[in-house]
Amino acid sequence: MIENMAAIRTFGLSGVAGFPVQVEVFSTGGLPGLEVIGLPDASVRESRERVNAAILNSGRKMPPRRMTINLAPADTRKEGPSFDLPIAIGILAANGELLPRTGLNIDRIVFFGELGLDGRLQPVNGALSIVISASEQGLTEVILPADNAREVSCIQGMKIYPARSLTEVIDHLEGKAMISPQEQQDYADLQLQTPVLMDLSQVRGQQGARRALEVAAAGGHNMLMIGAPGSGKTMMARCLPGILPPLSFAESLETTRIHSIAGQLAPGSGLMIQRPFRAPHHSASVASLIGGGTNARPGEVSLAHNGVLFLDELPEFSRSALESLRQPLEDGVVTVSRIRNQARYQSSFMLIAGMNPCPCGYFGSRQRDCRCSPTEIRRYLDQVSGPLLDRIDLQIEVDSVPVTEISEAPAAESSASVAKRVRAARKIQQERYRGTSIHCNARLDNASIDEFCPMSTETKAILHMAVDKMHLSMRAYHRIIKVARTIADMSGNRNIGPADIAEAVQYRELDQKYWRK
Amino acid sequence: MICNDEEVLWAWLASGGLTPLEIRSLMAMDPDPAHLITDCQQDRGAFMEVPLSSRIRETLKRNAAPRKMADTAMLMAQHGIHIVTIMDEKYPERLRPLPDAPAILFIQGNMDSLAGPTAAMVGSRNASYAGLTATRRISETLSRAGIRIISGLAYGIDAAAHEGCLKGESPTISVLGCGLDQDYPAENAGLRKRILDSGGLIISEYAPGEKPLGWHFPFRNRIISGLGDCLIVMEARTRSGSMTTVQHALNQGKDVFVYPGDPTSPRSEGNHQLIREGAIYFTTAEDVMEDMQWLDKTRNVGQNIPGNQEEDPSLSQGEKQLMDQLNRGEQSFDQLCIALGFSAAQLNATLSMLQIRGLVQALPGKIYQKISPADF
Repeated sequence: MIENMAAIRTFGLSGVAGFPVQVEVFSTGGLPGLEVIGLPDASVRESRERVNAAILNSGRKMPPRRMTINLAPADTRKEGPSFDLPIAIGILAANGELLPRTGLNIDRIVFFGELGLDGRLQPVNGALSIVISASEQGLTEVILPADNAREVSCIQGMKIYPARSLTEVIDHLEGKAMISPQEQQDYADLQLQTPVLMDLSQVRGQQGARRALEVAAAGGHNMLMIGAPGSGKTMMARCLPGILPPLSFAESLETTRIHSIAGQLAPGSGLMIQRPFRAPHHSASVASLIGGGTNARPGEVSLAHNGVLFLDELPEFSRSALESLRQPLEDGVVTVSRIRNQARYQSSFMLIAGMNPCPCGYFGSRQRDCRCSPTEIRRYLDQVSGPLLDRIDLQIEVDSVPVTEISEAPAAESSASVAKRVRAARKIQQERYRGTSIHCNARLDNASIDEFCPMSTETKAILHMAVDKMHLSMRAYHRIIKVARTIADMSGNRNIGPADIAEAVQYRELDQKYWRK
Repeated sequence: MICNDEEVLWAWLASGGLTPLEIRSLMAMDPDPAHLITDCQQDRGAFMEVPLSSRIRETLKRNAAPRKMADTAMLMAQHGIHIVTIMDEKYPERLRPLPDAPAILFIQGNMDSLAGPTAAMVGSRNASYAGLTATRRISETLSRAGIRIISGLAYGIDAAAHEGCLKGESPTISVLGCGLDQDYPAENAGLRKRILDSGGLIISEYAPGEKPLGWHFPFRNRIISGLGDCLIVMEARTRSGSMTTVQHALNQGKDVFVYPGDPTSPRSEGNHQLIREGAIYFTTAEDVMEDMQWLDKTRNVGQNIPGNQEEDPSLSQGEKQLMDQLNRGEQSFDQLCIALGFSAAQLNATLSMLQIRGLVQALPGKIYQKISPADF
């Protein structure tokens, strides 16, 4: 190693991917000063002041020398305060202020973390991505802020040293006081602690919507609910994560990475074990839904990755926001391009939408009279475009008669028992689609429908009669088959039967009543 | 037939916002519209005799400009609009005795449609499903008996009344609250075309180019009630346009028939108020024809009103149960689920099969209803 020089390993972030960064510190005589180069953004450049104070407050000396800090590769932008810790360690090492204990190879350790002026280590966004990238590079030792430790504790084969302050890091490196490595957590254990958000047993009545929700969960279908205000659309939607199959480890990593980068993880929290439920307000912009900002941050569609995106008051969303959903719905991934950055985020989510039947909300209600003119209703419904509706397999109406009016509403089934059936149906689908790119019935395209959805002539005849008699469009035709496939899977039938088709037809009821021109 | 110059001149007179009475006074002084227009331009003759506000005079002068007149002529030719004045023989006899009879009427279609018994049918735009089906049924039966239905071409009950009349193959008459060139209401453009194609008539007292302003409609309603031999109220709230039509009909001495509605719904509050006040209560077209003494005069009343349908023996057990349940009236999905003890999946499948057979209908609000045979 060259004297007066140190190189420390860390990682920068681009989208959900981490990239290796070498923090090079060169210390030389001359006017004392600190210069950070290698395309740092403002928060990185400011780290000079934080590092300076943190070193002094940790009882170390800041050598009165001229220091150049290069973040290599020099042609990629670096952002965020996670470079504080590697810079501080680099400065100390380059000036001989830090004497690693014998046998310690400081080159093989990854450092990251934000420093407070008092030398405390603060958590940073994207810790999970950094650790995953480090593991991919064959690195096994990481020193990071203690508050980020739980988030990464599930990653196999890594030695994670959670540190609370710069002093702790220095003491660990010098061998004065070792930090005990974070205990590795098993993902399966973590899952046992899944909290229950909203349980289906709390939803009374709504037999039709409950069944539709179960079908949606079993086949991964998107769903639109239409109904008067207060009829329970939001409550139904919130129940969905609880009946979907649990997040697999790989899915959890994907989702947690996105949340980690967006800074949506609470400090000290671990991997996400619950499927995300995102419910952006209807004033949301395209950038907030899809992702954007100068640094191409992930949007709501990516935060809902492997979970549920709930859009209440669908027609109130701006037209452009709704149209922007079409591509992620189709591809399960979005590419966000900005001047400074370009990032690809996964965005495979279930879309659950809620809307009123008319601007006042009471069209068709037996409780209150609707005061909207036919033109107003038409205009309201037309806010939701055909191409978007095309991507929503289940379109149902929520019962308008309040449960209080139904004397003997039966006790409602709990999420747990519904989830069991959903899991069974998903398993059948996984086996059927093994070796294809499809993972659930919702992903069937028109070509694969013929292959995977065999129907008898009798069943086909019923479908044709339904399309004809109930004024359904040809678009609805394929949606009905897909949903019928899911219904057949739920009852374990290999072939789609007449009853499956007949039931599936009911999940296109809005075509008959609202979008019929 | 291309509209002639005289028609354009009358259209000019109707365009100034004069009341029917003012127009009639002017007509009485000088029945030639060509004289009236020069009198107006030069502030003399009949125009000085009849007291008119200066604003109306200004408007009429402006509208007398050659370019304006040419525009009107073009609109009239383009839309096939013609004029009947109160001085014409063709003028509807039913309107003549009214104190505020329109002096100038714009028409599209066939004036002969008014020959024969007529009934005006009114009701709200935002009508209940039951109200709409009843309107269609009653209108069709009356129409089959040769009775012409008069209404306002609005959405809801009006449209249902016209539809029923077309189906019963008698001509139907619409009275509009705007110029006949206006595409209003746009939703009913197709209906309007069918009315004209089937030999019906569209009438308005407003000159081409006049917009459908809110205050036109209550005033227009006097023509609807005036053209009908009687007035039939299908569904009216207490404060609604239909109630103004009732007021006009009473002033004109017409019989008012009121259809009963759901006693709990505000949509029929007006109906029940009218019944309490002594309007004629009726439930079928035959009731109306009997009271109006049309039964013997008119064409044979349609015999094809089917009775209660025989139960279809091919229905499955579950389908029969569901039909029996729906015989008690419309019900929501949850109500059916509980009453029948079906699972949601089973109920969905059963409903679909009955919908495919055309026995059950889904209504907004996740409500299901048996389709009565009369709706076919």
